[in-house]
Amino acid sequence: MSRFNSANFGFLTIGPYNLTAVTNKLEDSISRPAVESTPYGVTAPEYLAGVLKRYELTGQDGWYDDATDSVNAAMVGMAAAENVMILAPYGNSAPVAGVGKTCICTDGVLKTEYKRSGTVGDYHKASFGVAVSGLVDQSAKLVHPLTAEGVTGTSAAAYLNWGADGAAGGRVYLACTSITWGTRTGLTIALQDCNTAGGVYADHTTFTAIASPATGASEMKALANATIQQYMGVTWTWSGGDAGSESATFAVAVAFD
Amino acid sequence: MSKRYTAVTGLSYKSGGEYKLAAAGADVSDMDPEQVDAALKSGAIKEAAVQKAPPQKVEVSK
Repeated sequence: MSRFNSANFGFLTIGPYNLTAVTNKLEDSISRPAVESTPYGVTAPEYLAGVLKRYELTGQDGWYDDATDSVNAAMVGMAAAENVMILAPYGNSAPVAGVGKTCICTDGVLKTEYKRSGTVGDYHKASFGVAVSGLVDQSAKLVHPLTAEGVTGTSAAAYLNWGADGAAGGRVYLACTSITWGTRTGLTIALQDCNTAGGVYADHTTFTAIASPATGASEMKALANATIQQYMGVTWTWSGGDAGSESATFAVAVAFD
Repeated sequence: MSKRYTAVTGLSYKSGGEYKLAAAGADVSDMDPEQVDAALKSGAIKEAAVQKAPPQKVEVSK
């Protein structure tokens, strides 16, 4: 058994916003409320197993931050529609010997509450809650940690090994939280797969290209082909302009069905 | 003359022990030899069409 503590916490992104640095407490919950089915003529309550599984992130506490890429912008400015969330409570690092960090991913995050508070003699605080519409991948794996990458490259040297090929499909999640364009005008991030460790990794699922001057992006894509080979990596390819000062901070996680 | 190869899709492959990135259609003839057979078999790369060199113009002086 592994135990984890706050020093292990990786990151939390909602949409293209990295909310790790303004969060100091989180509670997420999974519930499947039982349905009461007590009929007449019995003396004790009876229940049926719940039909719907519910995921909520309600116990977030943190600090108020007015930066354009932080919590206030996220909760005030972010679309009311469904957003991608990647929660990595067990660490933020590239796969080691093929083993990736587990994270929780969904594309159905809905903002439900945002609370700001100020107390004399204390820093202003902010907290939010979200509900999730639809599926939550509880056992997604980080193929690429939330970290900055410069010129066009690949993470194939630090591949994720799923253990076996997947044949039933799955989903791949992207959270890109910051981009420095330099003279570049486009960025394309893709998931690649391969049938041998250290082999030739071919494009499998490509995220929608990001165009300057966007400072971030988030997206969930169904795997482009239900069959995916067990070794995976990520590529990032810049277009337009000249190589030099470009940089993007992004995470990619994958979940198989 | 050594064979030439092109990428069928975007690829990450090893050249000189380091991973390099190639777009679909790019020349990947510098791929490490031990990767080539498997990559050909999986359809990730294909042999490039052999291009015939244009005939050289011979000037005959009279």
